[in-house]
Amino acid sequence: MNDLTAIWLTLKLAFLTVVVLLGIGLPIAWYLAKYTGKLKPFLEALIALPLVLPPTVLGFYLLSAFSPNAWLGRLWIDITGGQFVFSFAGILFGSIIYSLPFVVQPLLTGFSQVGNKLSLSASTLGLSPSAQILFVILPAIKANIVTAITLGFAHTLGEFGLILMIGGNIPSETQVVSIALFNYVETLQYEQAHQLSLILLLSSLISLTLLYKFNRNARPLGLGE
Amino acid sequence: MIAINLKHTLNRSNRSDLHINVCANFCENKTITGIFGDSGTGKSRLLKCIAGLYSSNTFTLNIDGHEAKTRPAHNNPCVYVGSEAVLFEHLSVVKNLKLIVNKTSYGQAPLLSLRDAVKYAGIEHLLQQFPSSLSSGEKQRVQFARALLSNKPVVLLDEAFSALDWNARMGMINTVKQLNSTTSLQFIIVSHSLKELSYCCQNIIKLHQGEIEYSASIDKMLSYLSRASHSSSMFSSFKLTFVDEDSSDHISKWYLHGEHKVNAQCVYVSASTAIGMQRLGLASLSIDANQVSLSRFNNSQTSMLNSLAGVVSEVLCHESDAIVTLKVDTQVLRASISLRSLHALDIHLGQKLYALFKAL
Repeated sequence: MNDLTAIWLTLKLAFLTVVVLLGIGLPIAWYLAKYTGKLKPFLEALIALPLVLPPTVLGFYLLSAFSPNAWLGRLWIDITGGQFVFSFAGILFGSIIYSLPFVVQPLLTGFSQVGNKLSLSASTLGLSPSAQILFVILPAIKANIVTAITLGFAHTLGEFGLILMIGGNIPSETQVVSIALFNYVETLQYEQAHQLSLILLLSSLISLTLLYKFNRNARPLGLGE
Repeated sequence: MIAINLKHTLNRSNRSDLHINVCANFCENKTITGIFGDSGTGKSRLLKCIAGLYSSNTFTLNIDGHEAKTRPAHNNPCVYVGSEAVLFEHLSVVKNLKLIVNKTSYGQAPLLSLRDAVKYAGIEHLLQQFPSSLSSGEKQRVQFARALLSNKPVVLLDEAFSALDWNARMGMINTVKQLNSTTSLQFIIVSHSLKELSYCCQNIIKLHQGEIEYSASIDKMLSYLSRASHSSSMFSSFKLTFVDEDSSDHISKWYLHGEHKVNAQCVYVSASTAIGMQRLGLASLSIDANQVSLSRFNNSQTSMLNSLAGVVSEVLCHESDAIVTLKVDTQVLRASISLRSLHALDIHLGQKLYALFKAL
């Protein structure tokens, strides 16, 4: 029963993370692909940062920023009436930052590969900017979008350090599968630990296998050949 | 008619900037205007600027007396068709076309139906294919059809048929001519091949370093160029009318097009060349100056089928050869000959000579 709650919570977290990340990742990647200014390396580094930063560092900063004593934390309490740390909203926010590079990078690659030519060609044919994006650009990077979704989802499933830092271990609120697993091991319940591990292992393997299968069949990206 | 006043600066890395400065009328009296010039003189950039794909320092565009919006590109009345066909790879050919038909924001009533555009571009057999399976020539045909469906009244063709073989290319040029005369569409064509332009453009502009060096009819342009010692690429272009074809040896006979049919001289053309020409009944044909040899006598004892009588109207000597211009009936024929032959035949103005060349 506890396990099912944890699994459900994990899926909900991963799903919401991906939805929000697509919403903000697409414009960020689009803008960054077009942007050629001096700050480009810095912006790229900023987005890639969660790849190399220990999750605990990120968790620690979030914890400090949103603690009820800090002004962000107080602001959050004033607006929502509840605490940010040790809540679902907290781990969702953490996940979004933590998985950001996994969603933005494939999108950025896609937008960069498609290049300017496709939108120039569509615009001279009379397609308005919104029609260009909707009917030409986004379909052209479909494979990259699928990659972004899968990686973002799978990566959120595997989150541990960050969630432990800012979410703690509250059943049905912040206790995701990886945390529950940690709990079992700590309390020497190896059988349950094995079950959860297997679920995590299989779900990750299956989603990645599906990703590689899908992307192999996807039409080659870009222009020309 | 399309009146254009355009100033644009092209920043080129490691090269000096190219300043494009063009103020001219294009497509006067429903004719097709051709632009040619050396590589790097700004031909492509000029067309892209006209289509509004780049912003210009100054740009006014006036079509048939009406000031037109130039930017953004989807509101510009000119559609740009480049040599590299950029198709929507995720859609089949027919869906590529339908997307433009359904989503173009330009114009109200379609200028051409999908069926007609497909027919003109000759892509009936490709409709269900995906772009990745097409050759580059086929892609160019699809791209042309797509441009016809954009509802835009001016089509800018920038080496748009460069991947097609010569005969197919002539077919598309004929199609452009046909569209120009039967629909309200207007065309500006860029090509590095003056010969290609000579088939369809009544007015030709030579672009040099971003500016118009010379603008004239094809005949005047050729005599202008022959003075500038471009003898290797020199050619002449004839207007011809079909007479008949001898199916036994695949040679067809054409009249030199002139006022008097009775006395018109004949030109023999091979069947394969004739097929492309016959579509319109009237056609023009070009012949390289170095394919033509000159003789003082009418010689029937030669394998050269064509022998046209003409009068020398101009002799231009260059370093290694000479361009002799003959007036044949009302038309002009150029021969590139060596200086030695020029002296041996004692060629001078007003002399009657025979131009010999093989069936074209």
